[in-house]
Amino acid sequence: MIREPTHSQTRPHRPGTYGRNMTTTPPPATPGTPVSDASAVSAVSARHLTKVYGSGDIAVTALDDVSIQFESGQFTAIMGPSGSGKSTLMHLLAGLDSATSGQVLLGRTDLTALGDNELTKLRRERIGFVFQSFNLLPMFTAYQNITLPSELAGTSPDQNWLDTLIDTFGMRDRLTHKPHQLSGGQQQRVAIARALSTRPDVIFADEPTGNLDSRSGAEVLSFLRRSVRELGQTIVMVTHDPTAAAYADQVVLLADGKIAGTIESPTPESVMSGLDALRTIDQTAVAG
Amino acid sequence: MLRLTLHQMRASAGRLVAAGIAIMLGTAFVAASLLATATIERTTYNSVSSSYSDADLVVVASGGLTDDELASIAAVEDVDAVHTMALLGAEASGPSRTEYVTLGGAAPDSSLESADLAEGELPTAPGQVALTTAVAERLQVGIGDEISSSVEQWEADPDSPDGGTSQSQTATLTVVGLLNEPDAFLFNRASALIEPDQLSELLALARGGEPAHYELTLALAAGADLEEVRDAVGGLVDPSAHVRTVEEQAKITTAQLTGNDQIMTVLLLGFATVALAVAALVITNTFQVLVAQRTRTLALLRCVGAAKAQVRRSVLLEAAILGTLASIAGIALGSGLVAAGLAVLSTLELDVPIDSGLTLSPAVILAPLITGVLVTTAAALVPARMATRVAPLAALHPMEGRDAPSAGRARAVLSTALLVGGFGLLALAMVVVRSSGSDSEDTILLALGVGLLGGIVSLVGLLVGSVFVVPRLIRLVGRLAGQGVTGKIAIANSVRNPKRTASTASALLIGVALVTMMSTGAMSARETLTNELDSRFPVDLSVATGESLSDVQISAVEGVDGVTESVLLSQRDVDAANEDGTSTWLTVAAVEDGELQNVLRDPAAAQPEPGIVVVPSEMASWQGIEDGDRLSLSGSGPEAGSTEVTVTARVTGLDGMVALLDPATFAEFGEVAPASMLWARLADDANERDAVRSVQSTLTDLSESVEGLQAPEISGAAVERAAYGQVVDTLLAVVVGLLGVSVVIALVGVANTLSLSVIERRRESAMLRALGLTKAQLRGMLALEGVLIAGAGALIGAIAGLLYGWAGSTVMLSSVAEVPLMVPWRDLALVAAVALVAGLLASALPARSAVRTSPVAALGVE
Repeated sequence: MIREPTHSQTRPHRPGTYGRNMTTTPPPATPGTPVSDASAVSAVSARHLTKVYGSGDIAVTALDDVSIQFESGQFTAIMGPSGSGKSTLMHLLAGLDSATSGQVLLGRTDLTALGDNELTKLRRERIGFVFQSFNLLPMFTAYQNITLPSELAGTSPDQNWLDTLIDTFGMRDRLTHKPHQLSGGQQQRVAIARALSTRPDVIFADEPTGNLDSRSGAEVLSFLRRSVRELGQTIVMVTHDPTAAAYADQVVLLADGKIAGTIESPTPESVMSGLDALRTIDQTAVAG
Repeated sequence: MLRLTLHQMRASAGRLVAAGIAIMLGTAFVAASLLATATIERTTYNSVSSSYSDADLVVVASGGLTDDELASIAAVEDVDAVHTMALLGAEASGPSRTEYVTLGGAAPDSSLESADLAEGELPTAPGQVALTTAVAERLQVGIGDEISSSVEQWEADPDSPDGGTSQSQTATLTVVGLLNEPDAFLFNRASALIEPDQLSELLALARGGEPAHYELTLALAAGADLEEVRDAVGGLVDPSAHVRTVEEQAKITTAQLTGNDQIMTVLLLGFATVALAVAALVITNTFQVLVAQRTRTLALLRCVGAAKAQVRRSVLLEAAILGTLASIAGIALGSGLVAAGLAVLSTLELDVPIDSGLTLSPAVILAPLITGVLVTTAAALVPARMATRVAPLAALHPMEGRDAPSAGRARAVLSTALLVGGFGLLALAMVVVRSSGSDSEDTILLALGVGLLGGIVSLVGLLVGSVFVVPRLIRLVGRLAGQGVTGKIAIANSVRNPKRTASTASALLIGVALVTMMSTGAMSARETLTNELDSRFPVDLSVATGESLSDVQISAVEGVDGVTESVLLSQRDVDAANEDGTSTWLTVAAVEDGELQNVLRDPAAAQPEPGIVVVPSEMASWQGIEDGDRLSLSGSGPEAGSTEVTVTARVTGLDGMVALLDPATFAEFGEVAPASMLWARLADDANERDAVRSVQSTLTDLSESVEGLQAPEISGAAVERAAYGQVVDTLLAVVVGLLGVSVVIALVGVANTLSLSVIERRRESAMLRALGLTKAQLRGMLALEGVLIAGAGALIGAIAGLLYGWAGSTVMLSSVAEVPLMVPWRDLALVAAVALVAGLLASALPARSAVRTSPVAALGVE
C-alpha cells in the first residue's frame, strides 16, 4: 500500500464520512478520554481520527472521529465487540494503515504526514509489536529473533537492556532454541522481548493471548504488566478477553467506531459489566 | 471432481501459467524441429520432382547407358519421347568474356522439359543454344548473337610429361532462347541447353565413348499401360538400373539427400529433450508447491470423503489439462517461429526455392502435443503422491510454514554412488584414449560411449544429490558474502525448503552445465585446430609472381593494415634425383631478405638448414618424395651450372608447392635471382579476410596503374585458418543458442519458486515490514535469494560443464593432437553474469507482489 505523505489539515472531505476539518489547536477533551495534563506530551494520541473503508454505498465507517491519548508508562487495553473498530484504531495508531482523516501523534511526530520509508523507520525505532500468532522467524533462534529489530535498523542492541529483558522473561536457557522448540507461551515471551528490545515509545499488542491456553496467557499478561511497572514501558493492547483487560491500568471501550467509555483500575467484573452495558445500548438501539 | 479441479486451476492460474510457459517452450522446440525438417524435406522433394517435369517414367542407371540403349528404349512401344538428363561442362565465350557453363540437352517433348523458357525458343537444331538470363548477361549476348563453346577432352598418354593430353573441341552456337534461372538448389542444372543430338556427340567426345546417360525421363503415349512399358524398358537395361515413376524416384532421392538432415533432426530433438527435461523439473516444483498450498483444501476433501485415488486423479488431471493447453500454445509458438523464419528466408535472395507455407502434418502436431502432455503429467506424479499423503486431520490443524524434512540417507548414498561412478567412467574414458595412443576409431567410439554414459550418470547423480549440495553451497557463499540481518534472512529463506531450492537450482544447473561443456569443448577444439593449422598453414599470406616482385609491390604489401612481418624469397627450378633412381623437378626457394622465423606461425614447419630441403607434404606425395630421402639437386634451365648438391628431404605440414633451402645452399646453383615471392605474417588481432582482400586490391591497383607490373598470385592461408575458426564459432553459437532455451525455462522456474516463497511467507514479510523492514530491504532480500539460488545452480553447472567439456574434447580430439585443457574464462564470466542478472530479474515480479503486502497482514489471523 503506497502512502503518500498527507496533511490532514488539507485532506478534503469524502462523501459519507463524519470527518471534520482539522485544526492544529489541541482538541477539546473528549468525554471518556483519560484526563491528562495539557502541557505534557502523551506517548500516543489520536485527534479526530476517522477511517472509512470502501466508498459510496458500500462505505463502512470503521472509526468515527475518535480522539484519545495514551500516557507514557501506562498499560491500556482497548476493548469492544467485533467490528467496534478496535483493530483499526490500533493499526492507525501504529502507522500500519493510513487514516481517512484526522491525526495520529507519536510523541510530537505526526504519523499521518509521513511517507512509507519514514513510517518504516519510525516503526523499527519507536514502536514495538506483539502479535496474536507470535510471528517469530522460524529459522532464527530465540536470541536472533529478539535482536531482529535492531539488526533491521543496522544498530547494535543495548546489551545491558537485553540482559535485563532476558532475565525478566526467564529466557536465558532458551536463547539458542528455534521457535518450534518453544511452547506457545515461551514464543510469545520471545515476541514481547523482541518488541521491547529497542526500548520503543510504545508497544502495540494485538490479542497477545489469543493463541494461548489460559495459564500461558496469564503468564504473558503478567510479563506485559511487569514491562510497564518495572521497566517503565507503554503498552496498548487490543483484546476481547475481560480477564486479559483486567491486567491493564485502564480499559478503553469502543463501540461502532466510537469511544464508548473508559474503566480505570479494571477488574474482570468491572470490564464485564462495562461490556454488558455496551451490549445493552446496542440492543436498545436495535430495539429502538 | 472435474469441476473442483477446474476451480482450483482457476484459483492458481498465475502459478500454472508460469509452469505452462516452461512446457510451452519445450514443445515449441519440438514442434519447430519437426516443422523445419518437414519443410526441408518437402522443399527437396519439390525440387527433385520438378526436375523430372511431367515425365511418366524415370530410368536411373548407375552404370550409365549408351546411345544405342537410349535408341532402343525410345523404340519401345508406347514410349513417345526419351530425354537424357546428362550434363556436360564446357567453356562458353562471348565477345569479350568467357564463362564455365553446364550444357544440357533440350527435351524432345515439352512434357519432359524442366527448363523454363523466358524468351525466344528452345534449340531444335545443332548449332543452337538457349542460355539462362544470368549467363547471357555475363557473356553480354542476346538472342541472335553467337557464342563459341569448347569442350575439353582428356586423353591418358603415358609419354607426355603431364601423363595425358587434353584436346578441346570448339563449336559456334547461336543463341535462340533465354531461360529463367533454374532452381540451383541440390541440382547442378544446365545453364545452357543445346539440341540433344549435338549433346550426345559432345558427350561421346568428352567421355571417350563411355556410356554417358545416367538418368533418362520418358514420356508415354496417351493411354499407354505404365506397368507394361516399365517392364519392357526394364528388360532392355542392365538389371542394376531402375525404372521408376517420378513420385517413387523423388521419394528415394529425397531420402538420400536429406539423410544428413535427419542427423540434424536428431540433434535438434536432443536439445528439445534437454529443454523438456528442464521444463519437467519446473513443473514438478510448481505442482509440489501447489499441493503444499492446497493442503488445507485437500485435507478438507479427504475429511468429507474423497478417496486417495480421487485426490491423485485430480492433481494428474490438472497436469494433463495444463500440459494440453501449454503444448497447443507451444505448437503455435513453434509454428510461428518457423513460419517467421521461412518468411525471412524467402525475402533473402537465396538460390534455394523455399516453400514458405508450413507443412502441418499430423505428426508435427501430435508428437509435441503427446510429448508435452506426457512430460507434464509424469512430472506431476510425485506431487500427486504427495497430495494423497495429506491426512484428513490436517484440515483441523492450523497451518504454519514448517521447515521441510531434510532428505534421507538413501538419497545421499545413491547420489554419491552415481557421482563416483559417473565421474569414474569419465576418467576411465579419458585414460583409455590417452594411454591407447592409437587413433583407431573403435577405441574412440568405445571411449565416447563410456564417457557419455559417465556424463549422464554423473549428471543424474548431481541432480539427485543437489538437495545436499545446493543448500550447503548457498550457506557457504552466504557466510562469505551476506552481512547484515536481511542477508541472513535471505540465506535462511533460500535454504528453508532444500528440496525445492535444489530442484530449482538443478533446472538451471542442467542448462549451464551443457552450455559450459559446449564452450569448453569448442575452446579446446579451436585451440587444437589452431595448433594444427599453425603447422599446416604456417604462412599467413604468400605473394608470388613468375618474374620478380618490384619494390613498389613489396612496400605496398608491407604497408597494408594488419601485415606485421614479411620476408622475401627467391625461387628457381632444380632437377632432383632420388636415391631410388627416380627423378623429378622441384621449385625451391630460399630467403633473400628477412628472418623466416618472424613470419612463421609454427617455426618447425619450415626450418631449412645446410643439408636439408624442406618439402611440403602435398608436394612430397605428388613428387613421390618421402621424409628422409636423399635427393641430389642440380640446376635446371639454360644458365644452370653443373653444380650438384645432395640434401636430405624433410617433409613438413607446410602447404604449397615450393620446397625450401637455406640461402647458402641455394646460392650454389648460380646467381640468386631477385625475390619473386613474399611471405607475410598478419597481426593476431587482424581481420584475416580484410587484410588479404586489401593486399589483393592494392596489388591489382598497382598492376593497372604501373606499366609492366604483373598482378602477383596471392594465397592466403590466413583466410582458410579464419574459416576453420569461424566454423567452430558458428557451431558453438548455434548450439549455445539452442541450449539457451533450457536456461530460459529454468529461469521461469526460479521466478516461480520465488513467487511461491513470497506467497508462503506473506505473513512473515508483513511482520518484518511491521518491525521496520523497508520496501527496498524486502526487495533486496528477494533479489539476494534469487541470485543465491541461480548462482548455486550456475556454479555447480559450470564446474560440471567444465569437467564434461574437458573429458569430451580429450576423447574426441586426442587422435588429432594433444588436447590442452582450457578454461573458457570469458564464457564462464558470461554464464555467471547471466545467472546473476537472471536471479535478479526472476525476483523482480515476486518482489513487486511482496512489497504490496501491507504490514497489517501480519496482525491478522489466516
